[in-house]
Amino acid sequence: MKNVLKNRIIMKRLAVMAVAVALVYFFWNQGIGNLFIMKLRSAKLLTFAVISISTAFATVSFQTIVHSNFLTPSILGVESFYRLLQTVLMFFSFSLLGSQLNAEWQFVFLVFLMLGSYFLLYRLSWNRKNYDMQIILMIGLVMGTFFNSISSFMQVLMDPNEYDKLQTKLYASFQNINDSVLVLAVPIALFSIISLWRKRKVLEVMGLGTQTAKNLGISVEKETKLTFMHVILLMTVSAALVGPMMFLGFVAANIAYRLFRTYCLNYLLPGASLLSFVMVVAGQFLAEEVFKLQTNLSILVELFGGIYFFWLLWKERSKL
Amino acid sequence: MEDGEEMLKKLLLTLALAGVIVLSLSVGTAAFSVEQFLVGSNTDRLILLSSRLPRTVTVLLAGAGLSLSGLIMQSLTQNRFAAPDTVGTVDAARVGMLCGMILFPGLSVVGKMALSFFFAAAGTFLFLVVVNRLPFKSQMTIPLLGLMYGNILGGVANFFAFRFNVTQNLSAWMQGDFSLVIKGQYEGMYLIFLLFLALYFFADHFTIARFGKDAAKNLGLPFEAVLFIGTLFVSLTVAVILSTVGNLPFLGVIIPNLVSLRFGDNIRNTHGKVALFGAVFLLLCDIFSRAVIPPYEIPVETVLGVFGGGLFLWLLLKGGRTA
Amino acid sequence: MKISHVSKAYEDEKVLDDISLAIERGKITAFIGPNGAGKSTLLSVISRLLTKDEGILTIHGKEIEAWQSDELARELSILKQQNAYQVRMTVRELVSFGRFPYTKGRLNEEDHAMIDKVLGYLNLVEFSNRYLDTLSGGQLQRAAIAMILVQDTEYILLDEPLNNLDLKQSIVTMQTIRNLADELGKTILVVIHDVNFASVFSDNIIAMKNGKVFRSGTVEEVIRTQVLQELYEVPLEVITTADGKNIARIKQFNIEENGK
Repeated sequence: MKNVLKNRIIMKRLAVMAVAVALVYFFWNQGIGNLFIMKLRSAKLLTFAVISISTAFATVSFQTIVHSNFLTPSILGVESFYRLLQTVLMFFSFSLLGSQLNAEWQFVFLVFLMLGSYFLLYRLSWNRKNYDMQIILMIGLVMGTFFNSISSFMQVLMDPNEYDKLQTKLYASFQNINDSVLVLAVPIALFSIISLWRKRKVLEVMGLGTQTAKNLGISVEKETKLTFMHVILLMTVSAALVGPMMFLGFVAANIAYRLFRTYCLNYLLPGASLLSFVMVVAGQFLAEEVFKLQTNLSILVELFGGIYFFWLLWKERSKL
Repeated sequence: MEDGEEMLKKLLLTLALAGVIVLSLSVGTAAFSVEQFLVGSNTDRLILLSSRLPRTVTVLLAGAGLSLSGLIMQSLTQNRFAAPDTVGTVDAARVGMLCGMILFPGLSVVGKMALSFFFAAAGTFLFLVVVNRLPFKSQMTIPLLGLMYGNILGGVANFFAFRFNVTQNLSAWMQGDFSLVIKGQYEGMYLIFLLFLALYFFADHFTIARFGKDAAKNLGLPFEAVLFIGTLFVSLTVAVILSTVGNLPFLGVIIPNLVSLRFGDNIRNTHGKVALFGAVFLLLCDIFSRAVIPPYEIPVETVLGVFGGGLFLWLLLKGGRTA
Repeated sequence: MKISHVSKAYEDEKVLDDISLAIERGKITAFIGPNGAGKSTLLSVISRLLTKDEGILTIHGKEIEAWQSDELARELSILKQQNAYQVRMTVRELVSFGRFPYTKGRLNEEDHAMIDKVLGYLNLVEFSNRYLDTLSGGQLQRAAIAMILVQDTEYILLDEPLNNLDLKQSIVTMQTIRNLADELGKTILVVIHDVNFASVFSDNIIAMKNGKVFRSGTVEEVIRTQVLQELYEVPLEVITTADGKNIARIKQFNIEENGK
């Protein structure tokens, strides 16, 4: 009981922190008056909320069914595929269409392709009798490398202008949020977020292991497929909005595990989301106001996330 | 009877190798044939000696080198999917190269190689030490962790590359591509012969390492020393190949596994075959990359990504967890 | 071999607490006791797979830390369960590696003769060219023991060699170990879970509990009702069979009453 009480308190505090950072970000340096800035900042805050909840939900769900705190959904090759698609789009749209494809269409195209490829891959790799999570992950690894080699090939062929434009897409940036894309992204993200939330008890049981889950009546293959689908959707939405971010979800999830000391997703899912939101908003605020945009937030996140990963690996080595 | 069969097999393999080499020497952008070489002019000889031959030698050495590196890594981690790509060696080397680009612009190839070597060795050794202290539940944990590790190192590299505006430069260097190999720039590859020597002398040591730390210690093997030396040789090979040619994915994993399926894990028997298969496989990929859309070339990295990836998937799906 | 006040701790927990023992040469000494007693840890410390924190451990009068790796490998060998040797090679190839401490991979005539002899001794000749992954659990165990045998050490340490073996294979394994002591004069230390196997096949018993030596002595001295009941904290009875062996007879009991 004590734990439940403690966790509730922590959750409340996190919520307060989240609201506080949001308010600070919104009102900093301008008060209420400038409609343009207000609109811009609301859009940004909404975007931050969407990506932080998306990556948090995706990562926590993924880690639960994969039984590992150290892997991230990027191991499914999602990020590499995203980079490949962006590279291909840039390559062909410039050479063939003469101008860039409309942002909304790009988004739709992206989501569609990601899902399509995912299902295709599943048909190919899931006809085995003995479903093995580890193999699925390794396949993701292979696909990731495969996509990377094709991407780098095309990237070298591009002229520097195209390349620079591509770079801005490949490195997450919160600077240019496209409103219409946001409008498209939100319902998709909500769909997956709500689905995962409703499934949370099932996910917890799956976290106990394949055989245990089966014994308790869960059809593991089906649930894994569905969960992965949502994870990929969420990662895609987040990548399409601001670019690929491997470690945001990872850091938020792991801090949440340590803060809440429970397997219970009722706390972990919202907790990780709040943490992630706080990190993103605070980080972006620092990047904009303190560093005056000299540094790119996402790369910083990756860097510190990576360091945190190692520190965790060392500390938790017996629990791998 | 068995010996005769062995000898015949070896002869056939050598002939096959020779054949492939000749093929490699003939394919390319400039019109060229063996006939012409024998009877031909000085220009022909020039093409052969300054471009085709170095390229072929590089391909062979790279194929053999990476395959053997994979073999060593698999022994040191007792894991079938370990390789320079999956334990962070390649990414660590990349960080080293990046350091060179940023801190010492205009550094010679040798300098870049040295820096890559140093970082690759340090990065890999760090990973191996951590990994050897962890109790494991499954075969896939090491390559998956190694991949995460590699991604992080890659992330770090990207961070600094972005900051200093050398991203495209770095990409170009890292791109696995044989088309730029010419005489005067590839000689570093000969260092890979050191790897061959190491394998010849330490084959049994590596096989025993594969039994695991406890069993190896039981037999009096200085496990940590073997770990260290293995890492050094692998890092050297990777650094050399990366600086001269670029990234060549999957070789380290697929070749040793394919050879092991047929010939077992006794390294004394298999290291020659691993080197040979690796060399020939890469050469075939290289010929393919030149012959597919002449006169243009697809970089070998891409060809490898496709074929190597396919083979890797096949290996995964075939053996499953008992691989 | 002398073990004197050896201790080892993980964080605050003492897994080995002031252990002092003398091991009789040419005999089989079995280590028994509940889980977590420290039996496997002790074996690992003796074989230098783990380091001790305190105490003195000598083999032939020389402190264990002072031995060179390959020297020690020629004197003492240990077989633990972990690996199950997930490598693709034939039985003969695996067993050959047991000669590594002597000839570092360059096998000579003497090595081959030894390998042949051991394969014969353990009835593995017909399997010698079979790949390890085609063998049954018992056969694999014999191959692993063969590898230890060609290592030709005076001291042989075996950590739970009977895990996953059926009754017949267990008996065959224990009989083989018995022969090693009787015919070849090896000094053998085994960690065993089954008290009766320990009783029937070994000479001396060391009972451990909570990191300490609970009782040590000959089989007759240790395998007794009072001792075993206290060691394992369950009711049982030790009876002596017609051919003079002490066997523990386990009993059903009321869990609520006894609480544990």
